Amino acid sequence: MTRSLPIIGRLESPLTTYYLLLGTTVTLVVFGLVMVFSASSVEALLDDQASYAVFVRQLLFAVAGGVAALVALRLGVRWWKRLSFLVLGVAIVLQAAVFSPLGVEVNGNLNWLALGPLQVQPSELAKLGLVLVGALIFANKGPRVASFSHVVLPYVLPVTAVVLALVLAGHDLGTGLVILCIVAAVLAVAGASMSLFVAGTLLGALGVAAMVLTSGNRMSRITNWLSPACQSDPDGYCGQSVHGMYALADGGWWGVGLGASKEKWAWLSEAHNDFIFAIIGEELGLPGTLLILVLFGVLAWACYRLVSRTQDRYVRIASAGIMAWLLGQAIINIGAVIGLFPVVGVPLPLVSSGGSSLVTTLFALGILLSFARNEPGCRALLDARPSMIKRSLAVLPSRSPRRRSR
Amino acid sequence: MFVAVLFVFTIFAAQLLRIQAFDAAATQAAAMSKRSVKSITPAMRGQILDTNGQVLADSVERYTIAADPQAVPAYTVKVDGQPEVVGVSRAAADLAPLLGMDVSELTTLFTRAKTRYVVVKKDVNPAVWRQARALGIPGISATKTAERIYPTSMALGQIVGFVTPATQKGGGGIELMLDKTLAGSPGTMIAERARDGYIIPGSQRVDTPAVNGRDVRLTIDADLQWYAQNALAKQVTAVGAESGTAVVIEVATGKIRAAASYPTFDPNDLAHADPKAMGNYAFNDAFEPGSTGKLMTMATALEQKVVTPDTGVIVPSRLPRGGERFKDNEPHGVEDMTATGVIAKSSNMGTILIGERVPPPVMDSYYRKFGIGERTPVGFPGESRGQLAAASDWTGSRRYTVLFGQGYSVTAIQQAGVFQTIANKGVRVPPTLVEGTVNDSGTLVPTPAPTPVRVVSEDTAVKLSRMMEEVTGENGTASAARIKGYRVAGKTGTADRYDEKLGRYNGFTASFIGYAPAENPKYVVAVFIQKPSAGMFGGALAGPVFNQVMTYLLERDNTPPSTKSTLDYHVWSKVPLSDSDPKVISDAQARRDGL
Repeated sequence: MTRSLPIIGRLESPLTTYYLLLGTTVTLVVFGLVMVFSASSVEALLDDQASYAVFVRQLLFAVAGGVAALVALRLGVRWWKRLSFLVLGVAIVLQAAVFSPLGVEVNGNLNWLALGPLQVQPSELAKLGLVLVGALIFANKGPRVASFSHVVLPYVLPVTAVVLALVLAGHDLGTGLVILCIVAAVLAVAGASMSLFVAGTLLGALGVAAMVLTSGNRMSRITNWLSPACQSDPDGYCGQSVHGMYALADGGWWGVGLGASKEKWAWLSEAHNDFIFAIIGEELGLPGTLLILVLFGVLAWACYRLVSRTQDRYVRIASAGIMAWLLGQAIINIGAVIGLFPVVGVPLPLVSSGGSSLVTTLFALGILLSFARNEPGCRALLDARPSMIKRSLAVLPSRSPRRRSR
Repeated sequence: MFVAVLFVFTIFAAQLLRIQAFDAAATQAAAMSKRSVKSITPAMRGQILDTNGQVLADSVERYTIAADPQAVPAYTVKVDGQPEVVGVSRAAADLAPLLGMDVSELTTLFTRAKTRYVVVKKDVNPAVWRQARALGIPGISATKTAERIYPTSMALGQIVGFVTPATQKGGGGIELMLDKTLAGSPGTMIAERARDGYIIPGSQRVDTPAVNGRDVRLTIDADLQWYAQNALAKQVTAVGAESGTAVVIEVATGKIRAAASYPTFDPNDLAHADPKAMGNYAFNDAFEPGSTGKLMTMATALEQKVVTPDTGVIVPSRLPRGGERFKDNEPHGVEDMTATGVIAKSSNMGTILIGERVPPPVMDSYYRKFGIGERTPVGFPGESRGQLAAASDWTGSRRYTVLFGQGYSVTAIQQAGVFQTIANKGVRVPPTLVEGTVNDSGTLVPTPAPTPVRVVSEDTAVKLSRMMEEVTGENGTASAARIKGYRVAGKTGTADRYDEKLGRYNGFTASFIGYAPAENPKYVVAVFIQKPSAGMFGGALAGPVFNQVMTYLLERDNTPPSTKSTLDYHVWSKVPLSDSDPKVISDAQARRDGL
């Protein structure tokens, strides 16, 4: 693949993965901030807040996430191996605390914790924990993953099962799906056998079918998603989907212009959140939506490079898990907005408004960056460079009069 | 895994192309119809002005204030800098003084169950609405409307007419007659709204612009109309008449300067208006004119050289014609008159003796040239054309009654037109009521002037006019119409009034039509009193109103006093007349001539 296009060959360097990750992350976050500002401004104002209230909160989270990523970047792989269980442990405790009086229900999902002025979503941390713990367990198991029991114990049962049970008990189907993606990716990269996957897929399908069939609410969601009548009624049950479609269609080829969305005037619910992709499509048109796809595609490619180039099994499994997490979540989100999947309610990583999601996602990307930094040759090249501050100052004339050119 | 992602993203990109590019149009239309709101921009109705530009009807901007009882309870005010929900009671208390309503009344409206729209008050002044809006009470909204105001109220109600308050469409009078010009056409605005009803900034656009109505200027002189209306109303009340009209027409132009009609109504207060009084009697009421019609008979006879003003007429005490024995109003013996005397004394028998010498088809053609039996070009709503049977139908006694103004019907405007013709030296100018329309640049586009019609020669008109001066002379029937210093030409009329409901004659029409100064008249004033309960003669009943209105006009225009006429006509023949003289008109001569 790297040989196929000369341009890619020329871009090839030990730093490529690092800069691809950094570039896409920063672009997506900045893009997201702009779009959150645009999408939330009207509803914030109608709600008697400053029109930039949501944006400022998101900006603060982006800064916090940036700091988290920086910390993650500085910590090496060794640290991650040590911290894996701690992260998962904290996540499970917090997720369990959701069912205590601290828990807050949002849109029917009991997966929020009120901590002072902040509302956090512990399931976001749980995703990261599952990735790291999975990587640690299977990195240590080595060739033993060929055996069925070693695959299942202890990662699938009880670790994943506990997390999944806690998440589903809060009715958060979206996060549950993302966790399934993560676990599948971890197992696949760890080297679980194909038969296990077939069995797992069947079991998963049965589980989902059971959940759908036993709940009238979930059943009606599916039937409504498939019903053309529901999908064309802007006031009905599928109103959010329909208004999402309105937004995308209004945007058309080139969009109505940044800030000019009409659907964000309280027509489209969760405009700055789960349905931000629709507002991007409305304001920026096809270039906007396709750019998001391209950016996630590049992110996927960078992850793929990490997975394929590293020699460290921990790094490989963790990278695959994070990739499955981010890309899986992006696909579920975008697929729902463009009407290919039912709406399950997950945010678009890095773009949608939401503090917990942004901070943990940036933290995860920080881990990926730290992995990329440890790619062969990368560390050496980066250390050889003068720091950004030194580079910036270098273009200024020196104060020394002797070195001033005449 | 990377390939799987690329695969999914390719499908996503294809779906995006479909949604955003190729299949977007239908969805865009659905989205637009969901968001768009159409609102009507009312067109402002044009003003109605009198000939001097005085405003007779005007539209003003008003608001209908409505409330959403489910939203009002969220009324919040700042108390010591802190927002506090104060709700319905405070909203009612704050609005009540502004709208001039009771707090309890407002509270009832704001707490009405199961509705999201109650009308609070209609026709609210824009300034009041601005103050009410500034309170910021949630759920209080207003729609722009218009209210029609008639500053001259009763005095011009029957000319200007009225609009139906709900639709602001013309319901009568000029408002109805020129509704198309006045109304304009409302425009539509399309805006896109947010889910909670806010109009999205910048989304508003004009679909059809509102075209405001045009102002129209009437020929009516509001001051004169007011004066005439007052004089008429007093007289109608004083003599206990059913109704009355007073018409002033400008001699040279045919422009109607006043068309008073009583009883009348106030277009500002339709609730208390009598439906019968909402038309204008001057245009809409057709009646038999009586003796004022003798003018046409005499004009035709003069024009046809049947008589001269001095031709002797022997008037018997009774005259059998068409199976009837005709008589005059006052019983008298055989009298030796002149043709002038027949007019001055208003002799029915004299008129028959003169008029029967003109063949009916000729007489009929003159009547029609005078404008009888034909609707005027004014086209006033409900205007009558009167009735004049064809000459071939002038059979039996009618062949004779039409000569003195019975057996056909006219409107006050038509009959005033007969006198305008004589005053204008024989040229009839069809009457007009609308001076013109004001165009977009504010200049008056005049109504095309009607084509004048020569009815009789100038010589005939001048002679007849001089004969008519004897009506207000010492031997005439209308000394009450006399105006000191001026020669007044005119004619009284006392007609049997046909009652459609009873199907027989019942009561009288008393009238006086005339002009001054007779040698150079500017205006014809025609006064009709219908079905008076005290008295019956036109000179006594209508004469005083004519006198007041004519005097007003003469004084207003600083008209110089009349000079003496060069024509010397007499009421009584200076020499005794003989039956056998073929130059003298008499029943005997008629028999000899085989009439």
